[in-house]
Amino acid sequence: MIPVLFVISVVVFSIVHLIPGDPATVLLGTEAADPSLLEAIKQKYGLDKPIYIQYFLWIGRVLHGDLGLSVTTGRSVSKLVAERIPYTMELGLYALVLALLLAIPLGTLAAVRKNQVVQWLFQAFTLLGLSIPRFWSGTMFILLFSVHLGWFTIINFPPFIKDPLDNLRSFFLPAFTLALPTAASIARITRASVLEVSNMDYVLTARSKGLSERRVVFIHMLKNALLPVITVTGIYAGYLLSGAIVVEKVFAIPGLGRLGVDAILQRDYPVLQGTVLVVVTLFTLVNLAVDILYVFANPKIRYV
Amino acid sequence: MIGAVLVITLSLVAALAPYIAPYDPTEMHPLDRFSGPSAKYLLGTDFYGRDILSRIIYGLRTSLQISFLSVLLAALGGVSLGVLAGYLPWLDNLIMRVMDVMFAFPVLLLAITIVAILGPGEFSAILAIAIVYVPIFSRVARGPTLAVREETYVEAAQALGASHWRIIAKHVLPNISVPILVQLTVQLASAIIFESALSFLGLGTQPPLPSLGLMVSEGRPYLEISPWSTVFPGVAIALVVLGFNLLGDGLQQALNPQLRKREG
Repeated sequence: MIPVLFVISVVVFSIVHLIPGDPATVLLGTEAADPSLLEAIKQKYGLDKPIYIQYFLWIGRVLHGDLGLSVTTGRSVSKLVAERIPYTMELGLYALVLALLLAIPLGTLAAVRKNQVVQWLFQAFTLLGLSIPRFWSGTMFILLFSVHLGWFTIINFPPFIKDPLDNLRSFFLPAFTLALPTAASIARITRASVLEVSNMDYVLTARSKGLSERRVVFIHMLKNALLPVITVTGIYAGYLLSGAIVVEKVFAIPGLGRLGVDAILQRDYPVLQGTVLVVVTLFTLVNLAVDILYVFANPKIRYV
Repeated sequence: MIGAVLVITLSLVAALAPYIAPYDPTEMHPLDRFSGPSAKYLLGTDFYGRDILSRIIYGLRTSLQISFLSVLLAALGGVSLGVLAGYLPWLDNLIMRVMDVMFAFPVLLLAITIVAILGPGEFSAILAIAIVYVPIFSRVARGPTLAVREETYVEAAQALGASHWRIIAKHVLPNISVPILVQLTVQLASAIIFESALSFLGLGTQPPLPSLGLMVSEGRPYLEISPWSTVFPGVAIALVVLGFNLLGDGLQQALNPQLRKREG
């Protein structure tokens, strides 16, 4: 975890140095014409010093919560990023919950019911879910549910604490859009995992002692079948962060993804650096959380 | 089967774009802006009065070219690294740790960072997608290589004095080709979505060139007056990705008898 974070910080630090041109010019953006300003920025960030010293100066500031100033607005990058984290976090979590609520029942159903219609519908759902890009499904949902039916407003996203119901309502379409491909993948894995478990001896035993089908499926099969599902859910939780970049753009949500994309288009490299660093750290933390959860879920694994 | 038919048909359409497309994809018809589907413009026209069908056909060409190139590059790089890691134990640790760090980045964010460094455009998109997919191919190649290395026929080849290169080319590669082939199809499907997402964000193909993702984003401001320019390019993306996904599933089932038994 710590070595990974260290390498990530080196990579993020290098962004500014890999972009063609003088780092001071890159950091200043368009106002680079003024030589005295250039000199000032070089002094301030120690850009005249050797590169490894520059890294330590930079990481020192980062660890104190100073991510520099935005080139376009002059605002503190740490503040900009902090303002946007809640939107991305909520979108991601909401989508993860929706994806699991869709995927686990559908996957289990498709594994237990051998009926042709169920199989066909399941195939259609998962294949379409995996084949339709989010930026398009999101746009179509806006067209259908917002423009034509008027069920959801997607103009503003009120904070959760102020009005939880309104908040969940306005985040529903974006979260659902984000959740669909993930739900399709998790549903496939749930189905495969339940099918695998259904041939096990303990399931046969449970059936032969005359337990109800419901008890066999929910207690004996699902409890074991969900282990691989937890593993992949962790991977997909990370993918959701990637997907959020696109969904935030589609629904004009002021989250981290939009901050990063706008930063590239405006050549605001301090903001880009800060966003990448924060998102990758979040991603690493999510993966760590999943590993911990996995230990609790699987009694066979115990790291001492 | 449906997958193969879809993939072949759409690839042919893309390859023959100049002969099939009814109009030049960048030609503007100012008098026919925002027209709906008609006999003159089968799928309607966009904000500039450009023919949507022609733009989709050329956009499909761009998307497929970028995806093929990037997946090919990724497979070449990833498979080489994976085979080396699996075959030479002393390189294994180094290569796989580097791959782990790449896995630590959310894919789209890594691609976006690469595009930020290189500047938006088609070339950056190809390179970005290729780099992001390298670790996936390296993992797929490493596993079976590790297994093949322990086989007696490799031991026999070594005993006969075959060089490392000969063993890799004659024994390792043929034996790991099946999972790589399946992975190629799967990654192609995801590369098409990836490319269109980059273009949608304004970081891939640049206007006025047609790209499916770019068309969706260009049409969005006029969604209410003229949904065609957003709806049809999306359908095209979904169809081509569906084709590759179906093909991937089919290959997986055909090449893996165990899976076939369980599904049946």
